[in-house]
Amino acid sequence: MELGAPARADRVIDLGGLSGVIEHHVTDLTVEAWAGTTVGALNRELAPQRQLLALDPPLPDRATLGGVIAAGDPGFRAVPGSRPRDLLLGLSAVLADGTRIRSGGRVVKNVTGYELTKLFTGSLGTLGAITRVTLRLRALPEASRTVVADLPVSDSAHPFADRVLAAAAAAPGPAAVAVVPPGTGLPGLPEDGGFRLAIRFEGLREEAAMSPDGVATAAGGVTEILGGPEEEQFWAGVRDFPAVAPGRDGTLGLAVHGPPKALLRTAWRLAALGPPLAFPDQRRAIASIPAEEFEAALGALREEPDVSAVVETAPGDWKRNHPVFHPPPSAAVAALSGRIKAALDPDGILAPGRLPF
Amino acid sequence: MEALAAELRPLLGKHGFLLRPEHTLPYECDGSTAYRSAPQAVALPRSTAEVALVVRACAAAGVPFTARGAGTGLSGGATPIEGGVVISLAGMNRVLGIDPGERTARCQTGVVNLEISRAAAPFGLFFAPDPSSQSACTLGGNIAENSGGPHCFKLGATTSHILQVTVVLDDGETVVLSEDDAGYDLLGLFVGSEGTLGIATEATVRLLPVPETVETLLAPFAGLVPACEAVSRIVAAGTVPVAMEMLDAATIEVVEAGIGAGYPKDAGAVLLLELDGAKPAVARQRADVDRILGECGALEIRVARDAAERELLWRGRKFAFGAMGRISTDLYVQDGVVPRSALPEAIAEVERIGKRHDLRVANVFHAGDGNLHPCISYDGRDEDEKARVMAASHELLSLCVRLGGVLSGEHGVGIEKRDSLDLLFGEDDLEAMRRIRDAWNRRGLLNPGKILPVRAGCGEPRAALPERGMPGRVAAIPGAWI
Repeated sequence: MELGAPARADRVIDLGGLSGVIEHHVTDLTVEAWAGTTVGALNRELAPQRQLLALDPPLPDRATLGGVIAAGDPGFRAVPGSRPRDLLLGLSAVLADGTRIRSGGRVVKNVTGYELTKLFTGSLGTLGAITRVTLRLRALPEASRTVVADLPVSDSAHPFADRVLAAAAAAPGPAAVAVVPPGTGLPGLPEDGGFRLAIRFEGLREEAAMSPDGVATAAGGVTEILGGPEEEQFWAGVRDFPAVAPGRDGTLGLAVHGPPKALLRTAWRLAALGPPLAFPDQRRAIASIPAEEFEAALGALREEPDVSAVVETAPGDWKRNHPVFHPPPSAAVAALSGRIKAALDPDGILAPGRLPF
Repeated sequence: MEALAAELRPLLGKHGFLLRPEHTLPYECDGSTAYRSAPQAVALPRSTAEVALVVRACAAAGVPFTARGAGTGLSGGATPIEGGVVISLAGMNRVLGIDPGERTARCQTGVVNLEISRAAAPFGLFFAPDPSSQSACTLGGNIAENSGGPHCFKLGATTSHILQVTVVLDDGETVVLSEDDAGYDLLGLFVGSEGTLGIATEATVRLLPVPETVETLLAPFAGLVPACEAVSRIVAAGTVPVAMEMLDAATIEVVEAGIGAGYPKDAGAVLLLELDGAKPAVARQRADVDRILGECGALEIRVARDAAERELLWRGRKFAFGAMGRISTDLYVQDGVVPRSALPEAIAEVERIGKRHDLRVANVFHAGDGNLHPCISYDGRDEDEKARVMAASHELLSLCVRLGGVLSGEHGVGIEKRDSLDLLFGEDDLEAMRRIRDAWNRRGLLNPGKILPVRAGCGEPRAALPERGMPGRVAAIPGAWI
């Protein structure tokens, strides 16, 4: 409800009651479910069949499938393959005038017609109410393991970004790559020291057992291995970070996007203001910044012209007094988006004002 | 058109705007030769700015325009079915730069797919989408169709590998769509929109590291049903082969007569399977796959010992389509998808449909993602046989929908399947798509007559197709494959 710009809401439609699995196609590794089903509940239901929906939204027992898709939340897993846009095969939605539509299908490969499924992904409820979804699953990993490399404290922004990419490149087929600054309070990591690079391997036992020497060499520091409950707690901390860290003591939750090097340099600069978690292969970082440091954060963002940021969460009515999108989308992108909105919601009744056009 | 020529020739050069029928005729169709319609003119721009100039001029003159890469598409996407100007991007064929640190390549969209991987190879990287015609087809065409290929089973289709595109819109304005944009996933909508929302002129693509090791296996089976069972069980076991391709007995016969890939001639089906990754992981996958193949009744498991053997095994698959040219003058290839678990039923039904219409059907398909490619051989001069192909085609599409599938996995809707879209979608679904299209393609000049059924408006005759309803007959070109 809080993502995007503040929207006018005279009426709220609660889809929480539309909950449950409609059909689990076990052999096909796909599931059809009502949009109000939580990710946590779905994964508990899939677990006995040793299958998994690889979406990792913060607080999965509260996050619904429809909500995660509407928010486009990519979680922490590596791309391509684990974002809502990769896993959503089909959906049903109700448009602003009450028309029910279907898009996509329940097969994993499909180019039949326009990709309305992708358009609804990240649309923040502005195009229609998602009612049911078909998602791609994967086999539950046999094992997992996380390699954590300490990065030198002495690096400045540029060598830091180059070093992280070189170290990550030494890891074949990682399941997740996260760059963690000091001071996040994430379980499993010491509070002192500098940035750390966490690379998760999962899948077959042999895939999880990989501990490439190249990572430590390129990172220039020592590595340690996380496994078992400690590893799960660490990634749960990464997963929940956007929901838990901002909002404390009036902090802002920023989502930063851009090409990996520029993104990592920005994360390095933002770390002086508040802890940023970066997912370089997703071209995304999330940062928790005290509201009073917002101007300084904008200064850091402006150093990289290819990087953009959205204030996702903010205390009180902060968003009513500050722009949310930095920089705002180009005039051409805004015009195209506005025409899409007008095509499906001509009277502008769904979450008006939430997106920047 | 003369006025357009007078306006554009000074900008594009004399050879940049073609008007003579002998110059425009080669642009009358793409790889789907059943639909032919020569453009009135062909523009050959060399930059995004020149594409914008051509589009602006066409828009001002109210002339339809259709972008074209290499013309290898199999659904009529690049065929200018309502005439007008074809904008060929063949001259915009450069890789502009590779960033090995970020694993990206910046390209003009007329670049040939395989050239991207060639340019990336010195850095140990490659471009993952590998459609049939990858040695000829262009990046722009891949973006338009959201092309797949055997390796998209594990690695994802084109849409997973495009980070940014520069697009010339219906009025000649240029916009950059990026994965990094906040708001709607305009890039996700654009990829796969078959050139009806804009013309992609440049793109930044994701590159992947070349895997440490690759193993290619060939497993013959007594028939397709146990082979499909093996495919389902391999995926369910958590093993993700990078490709799983199936050929039936009819295809094996044609391949062996034409190419001699060494497939066992007495097998009812062969499964071509590839594993990749780090060595220990591949060794484990190999053990799992061997066990499942054995349990499902594989007659043997042959492993390519070196690159030459791997190449030969893949040659049989890659050239199966071209080899069919030896047994018939015309070939019709379908692209329906069914859930993987429905493959055995689908295959049995495809056979029944073929028999019922007295047609020769060979099956060669992407088994991992349930993407069928029934190939019907026929003689285009035989009107009766053509009518039977047409009837069978409709039954095959209905079959895929009935089994929970869709009409197209990687070839696109184009002209070929636009009037069959209502098999899958209701009028409200199609109307939502139509509104989205019209929001970007405001005057209907951008690649008209594609994807959506053409509606007759007030006093407006429904656009007629040449050989309307004739399925995707394709030229059986040696070297082409699907």
